[in-house]
Amino acid sequence: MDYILLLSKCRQVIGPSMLPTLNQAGDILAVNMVPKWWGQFNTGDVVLMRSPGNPTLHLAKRILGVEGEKVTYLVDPNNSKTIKTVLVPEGHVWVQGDNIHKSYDSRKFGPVPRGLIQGRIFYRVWPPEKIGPIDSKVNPNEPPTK
Amino acid sequence: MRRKELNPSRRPSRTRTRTDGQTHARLGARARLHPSLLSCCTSHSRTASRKPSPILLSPLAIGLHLSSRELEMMAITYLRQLIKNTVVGGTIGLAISDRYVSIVPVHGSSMHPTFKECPTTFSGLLSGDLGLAEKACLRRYEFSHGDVVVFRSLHDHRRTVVKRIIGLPGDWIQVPDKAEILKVPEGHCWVEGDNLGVSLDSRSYGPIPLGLIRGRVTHVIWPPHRIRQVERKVPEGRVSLLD
Repeated sequence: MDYILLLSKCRQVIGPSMLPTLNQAGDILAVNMVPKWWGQFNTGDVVLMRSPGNPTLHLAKRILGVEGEKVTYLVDPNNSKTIKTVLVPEGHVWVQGDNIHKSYDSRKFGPVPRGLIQGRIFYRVWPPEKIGPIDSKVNPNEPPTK
Repeated sequence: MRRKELNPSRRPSRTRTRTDGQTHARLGARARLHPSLLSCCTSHSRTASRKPSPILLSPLAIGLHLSSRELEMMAITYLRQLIKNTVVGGTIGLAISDRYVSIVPVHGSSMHPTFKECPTTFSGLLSGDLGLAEKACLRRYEFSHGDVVVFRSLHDHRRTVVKRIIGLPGDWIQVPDKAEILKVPEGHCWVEGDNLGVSLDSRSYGPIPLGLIRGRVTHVIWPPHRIRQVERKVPEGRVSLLD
């Protein structure tokens, strides 16, 4: 909710779209804001971004494709098994929630410009029993590596 | 009348000092005081060397035959002060440019009548206009038609672009050169440059998300002869507001 440093900030994210990586009730997460200006985001990173539909709303999603990559996704996982492949355009990324059944993400609003991404979520600060780093992994449903 | 009243009031003080006969005595007192004053001054400068501006006093200190140890101390305190000021100033500056106002260079010719036309090279960057962008509008993302905004480029997040907002969410836009009427989606806006001939804008890449906007350009602040306010203007007959 507040700036800790200008380079990182903590934010609470509420909603079911990132289950099981993030809780539904609202975890407080540390966001690394350095890659916003320097470096880059990779496939598998969990990022904090502004919603394209409502600029005051922030979303936590996982990057599944960076510019120039091809992404294959299930159009509507609840009802059908239609598969679609898209090429991510220059300067954009493809983001999706880990809970594909209930997530408002690139399948709905298409690839997002890099300028909307605020930073990489790298650590869970709260709740205390789940404090720890948040891994970036390509397949969100694989078990956590120990 | 006033002059006559004023002058006599000044004159007595002058004449008193001159004609008192004590001038000699006073000079003598000053002369006698002089060495003590000087010593007072030097001791003051030595103590002050640990306070804010030792750089101004350092030539004085050299003149006063300070030891190398004392000079070293002065250099350290000076450096420490400099670093502290830089860090504090930098943090405050960053916070201000992040939250309140910042200065944006405008280069290229896409906003020509409003901002000066110049090449997009490095020299163009130097000769281009500087605009003042306010960021209060980012708190709620409230904009009006005709606002000039600075936003991150859709294709390269490191570049910022200055354009004019033509359509806001829910508006119907008539795209020029195409017989097409388009609705601006929720959370997006339609931006165009003032110089329609050369501008690369929403006409080619479509509406942009409001989240990309980094500020509203309110004034031109450089070069000095062009300092003025940036006006809002909307092309007529192209936008129909849906209320």
